[in-house]
Amino acid sequence: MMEVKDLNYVYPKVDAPAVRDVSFAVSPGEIFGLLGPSGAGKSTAQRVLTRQYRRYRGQVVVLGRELKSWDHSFYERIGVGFEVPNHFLRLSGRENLAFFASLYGGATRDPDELLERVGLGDVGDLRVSEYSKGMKTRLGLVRALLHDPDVLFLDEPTAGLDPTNARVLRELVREERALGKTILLTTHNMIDVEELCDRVGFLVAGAMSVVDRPDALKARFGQRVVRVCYRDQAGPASAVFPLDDLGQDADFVDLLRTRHVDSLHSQEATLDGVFMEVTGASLTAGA
Amino acid sequence: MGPLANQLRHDLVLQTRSLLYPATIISTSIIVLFILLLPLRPPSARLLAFLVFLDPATVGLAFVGAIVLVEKAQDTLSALSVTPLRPWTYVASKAATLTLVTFGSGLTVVLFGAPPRLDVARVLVALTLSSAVAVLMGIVCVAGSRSMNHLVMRLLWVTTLLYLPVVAHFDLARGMAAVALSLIPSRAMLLAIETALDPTAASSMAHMYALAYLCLWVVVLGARALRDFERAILNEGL
Repeated sequence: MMEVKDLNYVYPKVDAPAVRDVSFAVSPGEIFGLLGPSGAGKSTAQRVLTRQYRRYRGQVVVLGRELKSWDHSFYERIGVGFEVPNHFLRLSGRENLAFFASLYGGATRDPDELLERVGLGDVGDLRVSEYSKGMKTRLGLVRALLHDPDVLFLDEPTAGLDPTNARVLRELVREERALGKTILLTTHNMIDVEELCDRVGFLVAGAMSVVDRPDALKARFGQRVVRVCYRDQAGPASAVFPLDDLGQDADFVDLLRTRHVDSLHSQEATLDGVFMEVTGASLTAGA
Repeated sequence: MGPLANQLRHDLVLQTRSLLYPATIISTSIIVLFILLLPLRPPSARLLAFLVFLDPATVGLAFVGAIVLVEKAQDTLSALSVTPLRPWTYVASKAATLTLVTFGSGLTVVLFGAPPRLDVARVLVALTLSSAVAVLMGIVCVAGSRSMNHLVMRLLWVTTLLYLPVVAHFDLARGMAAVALSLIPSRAMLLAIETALDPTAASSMAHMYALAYLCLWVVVLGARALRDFERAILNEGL
């Protein structure tokens, strides 16, 4: 559904490429996370893939056709969610959706139903200038889904949302995946990545260093040990034991029997940690 | 509803919500009030042409610039750039609706000026072309503006340039200076409006020059507005 091979993009009047030799593929029914700190090239890559930046080098096939061979009908088939809300502030949420729905040739979804799903049903007639940032973000996702696109590009879809609404939006994105949509998520939000992404690609300084499943990355870079925090007569202390054959580890079993255990944690790698180890950069740096 | 009709409807709603029409009524009322306070009634075609010209020069440029810049500030162009809406539909709709507002405003001034030798057909053509040129200039100014400050500076330059031929209009420039000033489209605007208000004010040849020159500017500015908006939408820093 989406195949990117040796993608390069250089901004005019700039020597260094913003995106360098990036390759990845996203299948229908898959959520692919493009991870990287601010300035890594995520937005540039997304703008190329959404046909906003057209002077790229390399091969980009979306919906079975090279991007350069698509005309404006491409936009009938893709939906784009922006990180920064961009609505007509003097129109109501419902009017915004009605206008955008009118731009598409095909059938569109029921905007009221979608507004209801994201908790904006009661404020659909309120001008968007009265909305909070979170409400605008939710309206943005509804707008991206309005024409039932085959491919979704979502940029920080839960930015500025409270945990409850973030969960609702993640559920909505998961439903789109279940419908077979191809979804590209650009983010540095680890919760979104953990809960949504089937695979992720690490992007740093315009280059993609790793592409894999999040759990595979965490397993590959994590330590198979367990850390036990306990208390004895001397005060608080901790000990680390190999996770393999833990039940047969006499010291571990003895510690559980004889000491007061405060906590017990396996030492899995976090994606942020994996990212740092692979790229030498932090996902949140400069974000 | 076709894409253009759809966009026209949308623009009319946006302009209503942005209070463009009350603002236009106020600016036009000020010019009308000035006409009503003039000691000589009706005013000469030359003076009235200048007063009619003030409308496109203010409404057409400043108001257009402000209203399109508001949309740019809301970044709705980014949202529109990933929809099937084509740039020419966007520009054509903006140009058509705002030209209509400017045209209506200019026509109001003409009616209150009540010139005795008015040629209605010429007035309609002159006002349409003058409004279109001013509106497209406003769109071109705003398309390439990075901020409100940048737009204000651009509008300042363009407005100054537009007002320069007023010197020639009142016969205060002669020879090469007058020829040079007639290269500025507002000279053709003033001439077209004046000969519409009083067909004896200039030769038919001069009138034809004015209309042809304005048509040329509509085409040039229309193409430039479209190109600039495509660049603004693509935003590749070209």
